[in-house]
Formats: sequence, C-alpha cells, structure tokens
Amino acid sequence: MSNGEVQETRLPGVGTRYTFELASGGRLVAIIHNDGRREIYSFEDSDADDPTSVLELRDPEAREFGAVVAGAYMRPQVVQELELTLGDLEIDWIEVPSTSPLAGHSIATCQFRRQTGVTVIAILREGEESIPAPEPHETFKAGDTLVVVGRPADIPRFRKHLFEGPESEIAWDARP
Amino acid sequence: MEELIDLAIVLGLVLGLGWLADRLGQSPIPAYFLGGVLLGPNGPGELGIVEPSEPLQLLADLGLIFILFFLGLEFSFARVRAAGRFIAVGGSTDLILGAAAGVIAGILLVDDLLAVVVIAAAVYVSSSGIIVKALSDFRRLADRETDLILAVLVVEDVIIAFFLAVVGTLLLTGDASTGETVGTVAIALAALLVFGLLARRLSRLLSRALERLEREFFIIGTGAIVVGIAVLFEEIGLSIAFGAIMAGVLFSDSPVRSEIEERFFSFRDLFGAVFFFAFGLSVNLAPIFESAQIVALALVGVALAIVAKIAAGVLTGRLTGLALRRGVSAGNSLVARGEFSLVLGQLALAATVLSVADRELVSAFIGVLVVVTAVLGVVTLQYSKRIGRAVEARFEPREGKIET
Repeated sequence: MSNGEVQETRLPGVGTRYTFELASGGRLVAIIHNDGRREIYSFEDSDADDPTSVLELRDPEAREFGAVVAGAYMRPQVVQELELTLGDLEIDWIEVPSTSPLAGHSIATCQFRRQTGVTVIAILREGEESIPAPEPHETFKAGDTLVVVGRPADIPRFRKHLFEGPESEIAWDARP
Repeated sequence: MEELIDLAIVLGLVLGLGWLADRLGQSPIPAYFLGGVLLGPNGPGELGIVEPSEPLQLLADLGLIFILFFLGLEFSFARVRAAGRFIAVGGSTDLILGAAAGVIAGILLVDDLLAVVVIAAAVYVSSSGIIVKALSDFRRLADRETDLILAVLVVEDVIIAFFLAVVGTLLLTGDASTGETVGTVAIALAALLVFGLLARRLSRLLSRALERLEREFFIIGTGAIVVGIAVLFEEIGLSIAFGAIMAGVLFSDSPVRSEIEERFFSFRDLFGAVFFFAFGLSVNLAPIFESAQIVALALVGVALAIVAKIAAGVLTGRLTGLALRRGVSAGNSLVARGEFSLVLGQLALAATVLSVADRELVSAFIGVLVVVTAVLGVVTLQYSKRIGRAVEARFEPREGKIET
C-alpha cells in the first residue's frame, strides 16, 4: 500500500477526497470542497483514527502551495534575473562526466565556441575556488561544472560535444 | 411600514439566535425554530413579541420554496451511484430502521394513518444540512465512516424528495374523501410522468436561455422559473412543495446548476431562516404537555428516533465490514433531524386533511423531535469517535485482529 497510490472518493454534498498512502506508513488526505476550499489531513499511520494535523487552504493558496510542492513553481532568484538580461539566450549548468573524452583539456582545445556556438563563462569546482570568465587555456576536469551560455538550440549540441567528444577532428594538446 | 418594522425585528431576532447557537457550537436551524416558539404567541408566559403576519408568511413561503428547490437540485441518480459502496446497504438499513421507529412513534401518538406516515417520515429523515456542516466543522471528512454517513444522507434526500412531492400534496389538497385522494394521486403521477418525459428537453432549453442572460437577469430568470413552476403545480391541484422540488430536479444535471447554487445559497439561507422561525411562531407545543402520558409517549418516540439511527450505523457497519467503533460513530453522527422534518411539520400544520387535534399534535411532536435530536445530534457527532472507541473496548477488546 506504500507505492504512492492515490484513491479518489466522491463526498456527496461536500466535494472530492483524495487519499495518499505514504511509504512511511502514514496517510495523507486532501479534500477539495465544492466551494473551492481545500483541507489536508495527515495521519501518522494508515489506521489512525485522528489526524495529527489538519491544514485548511483557500483556492488560490492551495494552487500556489500545490505548485510549490509539485516543484513547478520556485526557481532560484538568480535564474529569473539572468533570464531577463539574456533575452533569447539560455544559461545552463553542466557537470563534466567522468567519461567525457574532453576532461583534462583546455577550453581552447575543445573548440566549444567554434563547433557548438556555446561559450563557457565559468568553471565551478567543488572544494576549490571557482573560475569566473576562464581564459581559453584554462583546463577543466571530470566533476567540474561548466556554466555555459548560448542559443537554446545549441545547448544540446554542446552536451553531446562534451559527453561524447567532438564531431570533427581537433588538435589534442598534451594531457597535463 | 409597520410590517417592515416587524420584519426588521424578526431578522434581528433570527440573526441573534443563529449567532448564539453558533457560539454554543450548535446548528442555527433548531435555534430559529425554537426562537419562533418561545417568542411567538404560543410561547411560555405569552411573550408574544412577534405575531405571525401575512408579509412574514410570504417570506416563509419563499423559504420553503427555496429549501425544497435546493433539495431537488441535489436529486440525481448519477450522484447516488457515485456515492459508493455504502449506498445499497446503508440506505436500506437506515430506511427500514428509521421508518419502523417512526411508525411506532406515530402509532403511539395519533390514530390517523396519514398523520402516522408524516411522523414516520419526519423521524426517518436526518438533517443533511446540520450533519454535513458538523462533519466539516469537526474535521471528520477524512474518516472512513464519513463515506457511510454521506451515502445514507444522499439516499434519504432522494427518498424524502419523492415523499414530500407526493404526500406533501396529499396533505395540502382537498378533504379526506377516497375519491379525491385517488384523484390527487392520479394527477401527481401524471405530472411526474409528463415532467419526466419533458424534463431533459425543457432543462436544456431553459439552461441555454439562462446561460445567455447577464448576471442580474440570470437571477431574475431563475427566480421566475422556480416560483412559477411551484405555483403552476399548485394551480393544477398539486402543491407548491411538489413544484419547488421539480424545479430543482429540472436543473439538477444541467450546466447552470452550480451557478444557480452559488447565486441562490443566500436566498435559501435568508428565507429559510424566516421559514423556520415562522413555523416556530405558528406551532403550539402545548398539546404535547397536556398530560404526563403524552409527554411520556413523545419522549419514547424521540428516544426511538435516536436509537434507530445508532442501530442503523452499527448494523450497516457490521454488514459492510467496518470496525465496530466506526459503525457506532456513523450511527451517532446521524442523529440530528432538521430542515426536512420541520418542512414536514409545517405541511402537517397546514394540512386540511388532518383533524385539528392531529395537526397540532403532529407539528408539536416534530418540533420537539427536531429540537432534541438536533441539539443532541451535534454533541453525539462531536464525540462519536470517542463513543465508538469506548463501545469497541467494552464489547470487542482487541485481540490483535485486522483493522478496517
């Protein structure tokens, strides 16, 4: 009963009730009243008689809260601001996988800009200082996160380039 | 002018009574009624603050029409089916036990068959208004037994709609002669048939017309249809009650239903409060207190009415595999009688077919029944889970059995 199944029950004259059996053994019950009010009951275990807590929300509150819970609502402030200034460009965070054939090479060697149209604007390195606006000779390694900017259509090409290697031949420099 | 002053006083009193009941954790419905009884010409000490008057009665009639119109709006076989697994067992158990208790109570008090039937119906029908609100207020909507309670209420509302339409018409028309009764029943059945055949087309036509109207005309148009159908039914020898229910049924599955509900809730609440109050004004409880014997019989009747509901909850719980405590809890939640019993009481009081003595006794008994069960019912509902657990601990001590 703990595979997150939702059971829907009509409550005549009241509204609709949705029951969620939780993996923790608890039970969450959401009631949508005909007048738009929402109530959320939580029960510690599935057979408990009395709810441990009850939440009552109005319609607009419930919608916003629901979006937050669903993960569809909140985005970091910084991304929202960047979006304003970037216009039709997109900014993305891409971690360098350990399987990347380009790991350990410099940005210039990889010819990101020439072959994919995407520019690396920062290298984030866990436990060390990040490198903003890296020089072309800067190298990156597996586990780093590259902050890149480019047209939305070009970002997938960049990923492929980084993950599987370049489409056309490049002049490999010596590994450090 | 004087009538308006009276009306202002009535509304002020009704507001005060409703507010007081709410503060005490009670439903305002019995408070409106009891207020009418106490403050009216038949009250103790003959306070007589408010006299029944024609303008007041007009508003009360509108209240009756809108209460029954909303009952009709809820009338839908699709909704009955959607109410789940408790419908058949819960609905029939409750009907058999409730009606049986009602018939016994009726026989104890009156001789006339029709009067017994009216008492039986008033004992049978729980108050969906009071119970649904209390379930919501006391945070009980997530409980398993709530499904059972709501299913029983849905069945009751459908049955009482039929009953009010047919028996309500019998009560309000003609004398008791067999020929006339047969005639009335024939007209009622014919009206039902014609209405049944035309309902879908008429409903679509009226809904489409209403949908095009702007807001204020929507309200006026709906009001005209509702009052119009109610009066039309009275004109063809049936009753306002029948017409009001049918007007509701007409819109029960239509796309404008929710908008009508939204816009007319306030009408029902305002005029409905006046209706309960005005009924209280016209009721005389004295016949109940005439002799110790009648008081005792009436109390037995009320006790039966309460026991029947609790028994229906327990029995349905047994038959559908609910734990004992949940069945007990459901039964204790169904005790309150309210709006529809009061409507029956008012119809009985106005019934030309009944003898004056029966009219007074039936309406007085229903008044007492509603006040006692509505007040007690809200309390038993509030503590029903505790009562259920106590009963279970007493009769079925846990042996590590599977919970349901």
